[in-house]
Amino acid sequence: MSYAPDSLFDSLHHQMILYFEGRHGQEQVSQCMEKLGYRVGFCLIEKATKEEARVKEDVDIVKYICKDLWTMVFRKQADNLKTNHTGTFVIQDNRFRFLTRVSQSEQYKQRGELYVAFTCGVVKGALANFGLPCTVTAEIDMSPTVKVTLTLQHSVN
Amino acid sequence: MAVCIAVLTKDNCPLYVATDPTEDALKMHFLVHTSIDVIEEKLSSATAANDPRDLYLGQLYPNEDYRIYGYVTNTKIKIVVIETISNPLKDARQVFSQVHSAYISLVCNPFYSPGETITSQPFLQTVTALMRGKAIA
Repeated sequence: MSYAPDSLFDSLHHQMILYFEGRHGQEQVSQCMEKLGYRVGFCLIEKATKEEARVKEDVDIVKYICKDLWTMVFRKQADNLKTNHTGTFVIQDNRFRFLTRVSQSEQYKQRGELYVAFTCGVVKGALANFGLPCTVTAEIDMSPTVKVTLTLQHSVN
Repeated sequence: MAVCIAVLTKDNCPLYVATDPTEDALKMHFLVHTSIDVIEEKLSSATAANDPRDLYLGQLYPNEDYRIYGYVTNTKIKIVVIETISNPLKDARQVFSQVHSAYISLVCNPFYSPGETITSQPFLQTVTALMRGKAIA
């Protein structure tokens, strides 16, 4: 199966950010991107889990996100997953796709945060479809490394 | 031939219940409602007879006139199919698989919000055709 080139989605993603900025102003961009991502994540999971065996534990669900969902969206698996075993998980991606082409100087650090909002939405939507409502935030300490933190609100079991 | 196909959300709210006009709709609704308990029990039992990772749950409980089958997706959507003993379905798994595919197409439709009652024409047509026993291409 052949894929469309990555640059198509990278460009679309960039344009989405510019569109929301022009239309709603900079403060609303993250919210709008996250809402879009939510629906995308929701549908992706619905489609992808049809052929999968039943996923039961919270940890298995998060691992599924790191491996299969990340592969679907970014064509690679997430690089690292940490947990504190009380419902908080941190997914680390060392070469976050949307930031690899953004300059790494301090000047663009704030803008960089707009580029992770969509992904946070995708993860949030995916987890919501699995039955795990959660809050998702992202930190960029050193671009292009991104850490996505999930805080589960309650367990599915 | 199926006499009833029902789709329920993770909170057991009915999204769509289709019943054959020859059968009593209220009775079908009741059977679907009672099968919810059985589904929950099967999902939580540690020693499942089937492969616990399989989405198809098989026959849920015995009944003199009907056979009731269950299926739960990874996204906690429950599908229940009821057939008469006199006119059994050829392949229940196939029916579930097609209802699941129709549901996925429905969720991907941007005009449908998850959790709403299903009124989409393609979905209704698919389910009606499945109830009559016609295979979908």
